[in-house]
Amino acid sequence: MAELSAQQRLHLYELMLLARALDERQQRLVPAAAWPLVLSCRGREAAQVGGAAALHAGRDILAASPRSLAAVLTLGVSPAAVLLEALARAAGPWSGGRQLPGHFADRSRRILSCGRDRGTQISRAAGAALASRLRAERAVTLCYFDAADSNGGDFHEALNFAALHHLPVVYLAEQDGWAGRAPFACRSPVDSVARRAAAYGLPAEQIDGSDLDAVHRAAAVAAERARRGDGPSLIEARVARLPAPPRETERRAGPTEPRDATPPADDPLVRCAATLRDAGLLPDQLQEQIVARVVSQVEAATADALAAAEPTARQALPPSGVRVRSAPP
Amino acid sequence: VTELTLIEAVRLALFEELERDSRVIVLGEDIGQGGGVFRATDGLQARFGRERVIDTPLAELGIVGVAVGAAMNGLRPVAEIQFADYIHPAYDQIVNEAAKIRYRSNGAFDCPLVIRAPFGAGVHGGLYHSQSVEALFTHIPGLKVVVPATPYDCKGLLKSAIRDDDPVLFFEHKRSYRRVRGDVPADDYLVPIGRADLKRSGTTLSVVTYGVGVHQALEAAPTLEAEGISIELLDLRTLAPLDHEAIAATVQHTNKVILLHEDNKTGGVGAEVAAFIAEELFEALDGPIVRVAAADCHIPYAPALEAAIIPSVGDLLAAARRLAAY
Repeated sequence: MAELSAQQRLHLYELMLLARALDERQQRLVPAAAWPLVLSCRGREAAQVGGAAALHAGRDILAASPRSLAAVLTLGVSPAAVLLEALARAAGPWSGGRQLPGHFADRSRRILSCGRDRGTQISRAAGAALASRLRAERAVTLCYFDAADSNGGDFHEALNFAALHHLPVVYLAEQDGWAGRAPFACRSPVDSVARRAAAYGLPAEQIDGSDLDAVHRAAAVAAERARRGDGPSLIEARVARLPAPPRETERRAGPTEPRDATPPADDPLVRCAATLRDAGLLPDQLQEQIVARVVSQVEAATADALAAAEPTARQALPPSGVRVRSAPP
Repeated sequence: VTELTLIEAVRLALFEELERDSRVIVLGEDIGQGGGVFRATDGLQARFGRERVIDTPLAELGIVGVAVGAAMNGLRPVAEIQFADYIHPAYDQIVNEAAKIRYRSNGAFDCPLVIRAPFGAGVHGGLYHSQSVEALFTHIPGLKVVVPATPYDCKGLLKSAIRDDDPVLFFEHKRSYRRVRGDVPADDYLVPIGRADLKRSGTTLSVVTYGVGVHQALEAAPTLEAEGISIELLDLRTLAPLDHEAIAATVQHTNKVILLHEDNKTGGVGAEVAAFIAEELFEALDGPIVRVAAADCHIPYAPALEAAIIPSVGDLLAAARRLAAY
């Protein structure tokens, strides 16, 4: 299986930084009065960037969760799109202000419209894979979901169906050790999603989700297996549960709480930077250049989003084809 | 033109659409080799293969979830729910996913999905093979709800549903499956979704109904006619979106209306039609809006118990006589 080139690794590292910066920016931009439902990809950047980089852009399909910001950036979604949606602007390309932030939908990039969180995309991914196979496209569907969603019915019914029909789908569970506000073990008597997947006959493995190269390798192997017609598989990526971004902390504890400025050791950004430095690929000067590019992209996207118009009441009505009241013509 | 039963009309529509459009697939429980519990898909897997006529596990949430994903990725799935009573585990995927996809993606994605299910009582199916679930879906924006009463309408409406770009719930009254026969043309005709059909003209009062109610009203009509009560029968055919124009036309013609359905009275389709008439057609009424519907109860198994709950032709006759005399 092809390893990432030095250039690819640097590019993906930059996407991870961009995802982190955009994630924090949208947490800050969403009005303080708003319900705090900007689901974060924080700590999951390597698991998402590494997985999405194993897809063939334009052919393969992404069934995202509302936390999949880093994955969609890897497929070419722009920072402006992210912030237009976060601010519910009319020009938001996924929903135009109808959905909460992070409900991705990009037909041209084959990112399926994202609905209710809690794993509804797990069966959607199986269906999308069914369609790809019927058309003999050799396309794989990559589905991200939170490990806690393996307690729900969608997970079990979809994995059973996907395995039974040998569908070309790769499931990537992000395991941060928690299920809502309780440790994972308090909500599941089985300690891993991979073990559950194995019960349905899927090849399943646990990997270090903060290791960009490991994630990419596992996703590429699983995707190739699916393309060959050898059916679905599941990757359980252990990801970091990082302290909440500043805005959430401020809201919960008030601004006086001191913040620990030291990044946790399992932060995928820290890990990736260290690996690249050890390989001699990331001199300080390059790191500074990358950070400067990320900052300038986020600032430009912020300015664009803030300047964009909010939707008008007229735009609340459904697009054509959706029933409002009377019969269609 | 051939005389077919309602279930044969379902199968013919599926056959023709599978043949016409390679994007159409059919999936459900034992629908392939088994041909479905009511034989609606008999022979389809042998003709179109296991990739397009798909046997699924007995798990409705997964059936609909998979169908939604396939629809978002370019197919036109027809999912069979073996009994409408079993649709409830799939309610989340229908209401939170299928119904919302076009709206939430600002029109970028659609969900051309049909969910077929036999529904209704009168076959001694007990609590879990008798329910009328249609009203639960008429409440939801983004869903179309269709109930054919005749084989002709069934074929034309199912073909329209499969070609529709939005999700359609297609409920077939199971007591009508083999009891109702009618002429069905062999050609590729469509019956439009959203249009009611005047099944009988009359002058004394209107019966607005759908599904098995159409046949109950047709049965009652000659008896009432002999008593000087001439009923006009409007078959709604589509429950969402309602054909308001057709409802208005019949109410303005007879000035009295009975709303008949086998679903429970509270919150049934009749309640919505009654509200529409009260809001928009108050001046046209010469009597109270009358609902004939099931008691607000579950459907029990024993024949005497079941008959006590669901509306009968006798109930309709009595209601029509009272309203005619008003």
